[in-house]
Amino acid sequence: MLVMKFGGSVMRLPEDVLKVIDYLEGQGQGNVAVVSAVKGVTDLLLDMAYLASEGKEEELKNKFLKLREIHDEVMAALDLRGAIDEDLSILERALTGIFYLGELSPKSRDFVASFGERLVGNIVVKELRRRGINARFMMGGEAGIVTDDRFGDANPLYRASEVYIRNRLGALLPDTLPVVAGFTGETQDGRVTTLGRGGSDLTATLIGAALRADEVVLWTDVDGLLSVSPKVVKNPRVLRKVSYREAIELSFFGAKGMHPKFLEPAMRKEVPVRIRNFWKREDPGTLVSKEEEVKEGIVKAVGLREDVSIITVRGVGMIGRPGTAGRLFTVLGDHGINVLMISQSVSESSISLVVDGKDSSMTSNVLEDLLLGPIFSEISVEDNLSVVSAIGAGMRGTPGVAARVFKAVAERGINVKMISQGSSEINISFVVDGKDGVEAARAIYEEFKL
Amino acid sequence: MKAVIIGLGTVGRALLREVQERGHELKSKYGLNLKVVGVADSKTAVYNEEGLNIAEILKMKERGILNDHPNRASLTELIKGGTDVLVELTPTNLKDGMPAVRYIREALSAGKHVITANKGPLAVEMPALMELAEYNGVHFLFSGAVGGGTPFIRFVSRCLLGERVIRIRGIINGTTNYILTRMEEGLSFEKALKEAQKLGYAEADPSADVDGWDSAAKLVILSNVAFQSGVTLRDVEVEGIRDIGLENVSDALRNGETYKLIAYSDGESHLVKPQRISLKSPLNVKGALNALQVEAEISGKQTLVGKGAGGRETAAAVIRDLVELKVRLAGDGRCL
Ligand SMILES: NC(=O)c1ccc[n+]([C@@H]2O[C@H](COP(=O)([O-])OP(=O)(O)OC[C@H]3O[C@@H](n4cnc5c(N)ncnc54)[C@H](OP(=O)(O)O)[C@@H]3O)[C@@H](O)[C@H]2O)c1
Repeated sequence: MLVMKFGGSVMRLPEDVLKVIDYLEGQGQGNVAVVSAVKGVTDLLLDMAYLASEGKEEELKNKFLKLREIHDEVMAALDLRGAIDEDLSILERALTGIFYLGELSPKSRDFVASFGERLVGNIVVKELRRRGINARFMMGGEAGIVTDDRFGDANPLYRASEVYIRNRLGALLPDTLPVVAGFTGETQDGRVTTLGRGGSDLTATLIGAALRADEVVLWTDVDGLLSVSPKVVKNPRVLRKVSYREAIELSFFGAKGMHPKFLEPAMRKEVPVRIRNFWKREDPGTLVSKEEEVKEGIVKAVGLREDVSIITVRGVGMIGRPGTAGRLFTVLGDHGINVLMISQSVSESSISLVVDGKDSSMTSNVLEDLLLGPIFSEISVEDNLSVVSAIGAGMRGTPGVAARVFKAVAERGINVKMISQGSSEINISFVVDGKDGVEAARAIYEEFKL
Repeated sequence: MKAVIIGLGTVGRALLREVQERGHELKSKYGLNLKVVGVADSKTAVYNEEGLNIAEILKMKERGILNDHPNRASLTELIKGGTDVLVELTPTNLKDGMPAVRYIREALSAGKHVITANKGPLAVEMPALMELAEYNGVHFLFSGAVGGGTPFIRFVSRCLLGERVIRIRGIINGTTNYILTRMEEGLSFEKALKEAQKLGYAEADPSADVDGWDSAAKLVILSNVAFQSGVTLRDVEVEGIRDIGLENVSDALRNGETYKLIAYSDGESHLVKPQRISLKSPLNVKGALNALQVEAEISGKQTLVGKGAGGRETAAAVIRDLVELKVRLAGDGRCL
């Protein structure tokens, strides 16, 4: 049994949807499909919700027409006119409600956003049924995905979702081909939620894990996970096999909007995940599974993340005072600031944090406002930096890897500003000046012949 | 503490009687001042914020009609209204857990504590209900759902704190044990079943019992409690006692053994199956008794034996849960 997810990157154009339908027809009943909205549609819907709340009737109408056009084109090709009229009229009524109230709650925003998957899912199902496949469309919630109440970025309740997916979706297999709206779930009292960025991947792995699928296939428009960003070298190698933990490290380096949290359910139930290129179906892509292959060389991949900042907090008063780090991280957590790397001097007189460049000034402001004083006496910021990371399960227990990494970088005259190695030892990360990022990544790439 | 009781059958009514008789004791001994603000049966729901007159409810219910009670309300009002805890005692449904799952989910999402003696909703979706309770920050207790008044659940969840339970094995269905006991004495399966029905042990439709599903439902509950295994009824391999046959039973006896419908779980595999055990085994209990053997990592095998059902006994388990709830809410961690 396969769970197949078709991302927005596959469904860029109306005709792509037809290709997906043909492919699903070939796969048949007993498998599960997870669909994303056609490229751009989710953003279009969010715009519409906003325009409605602002009372901008004219612009709203235009966008609505555009939404209709995108899907009409698909339906015309399939001779399925009218297939989504009912959904569109529900959407229209929801937008009318928002328009008259002049108010856009996170709840209604999620409800509107969920229509991207709903529209395309219904078209896919109607066509498959016409071709004699017992397909059935389901919203994430109907399929069993229960989430918390964080509308817009909801988290699944994992154990509950597992049970409900098995009871509802699992009960339909093997003589059905369920087509599930990715990215959507529902709260315990039945309100539609969305799972945030990369949510459809999570939909697929939740279902795959609950039903113990043979494989979760994430169809995209890339060949798989790469050993290095194409920014660093032309035509980098595709990694054929990586472990869950390696994939989590890799996804941090922006392998196209992948959010590491989607791997968690698959990892828990040890269900393999494969990332494949829908336009190159002979290519096996990258397999993410439990096995940590160590033979393939010690470092498997190198990650580069540009535009990060180091914020350093200093103070002699911090020395030997328990709870200082706790205060610092509480403040950061309360403001939703995501910390990418941490290092503390042994003397305890300073703590350095790496944050995303876009969070830099907010972070330093917040820390100055709330912490600057006798204990935290100085806060400094360094912007325009890059994080480079050598990743590979084979590094564990192999002496001398760090030495090779840093020697390669030093030989190119690059200065390393901060280092951190996770105790899992599957990555070594360091920070360099922004202008040196690509060169540092290339140094590792060449040293380990990636 | 304000409580709402849904289901006024054998257990629900026994509970009302116990509350009526022992209310004072519960208050003075545990500080549990129980006020029943709502009750419902299959047709009528009654609600009074100030507390209902229990004697009056019992009297009406004995005459078979609640619906001339002045304080009629909707079930949603009962569940989402001013109560602290929902006590759910409707009939067991092992297919989809309805209507109990609906009531329980509604209560949990409204931030109400839930107590049930109904194994249906647990068999179908226990791990989900547990997570929903956790997510809503409320307590969910179900002592009466396995073994009636015998505290099997607490036996695996509490009594062995600090060490690991390795496996559990037991007889957790009284009806089949009664039938097998009578078969040992020479009665055919059919005759023994008829007798069990006459005595009120078996339902008119005995399949949940004799085909093993009742045991399987209870095994699901015990396994989730003992091993956090996350299983539901789908994960249990089930075989009933219909096909054992008298010859096999007497053959076993000649070899110093006897057939029992054994429920087994080690957290990984879950099965309910007739098995031959030694006549000397502590699990060799007679009649409608239940017995559960727990094997703990350090302290070894231990067996708890007790009556597995009964309205009054099950009401006692519900009261135990009410007291436990009170103790937990008072922040007093005493192990009772
Ligand atoms: N009896 C035992 O020894 C024992 C032991 C352990 C666990 N349990 C469990 O405890 C639960 C109750 O058992 P019981 O023996 O008391 O059952 P019961 O005598 O059959 O009573 C069931 C009660 O639930 C009510 N009811 C039925 N459908 C309902 C609905 N849709 N909404 C609201 N109420 C509804 C019935 O209403 P009416 O009065 O209108 O019919 C009745 O009052 C069961 O789940 C059972 O498995 C029982």
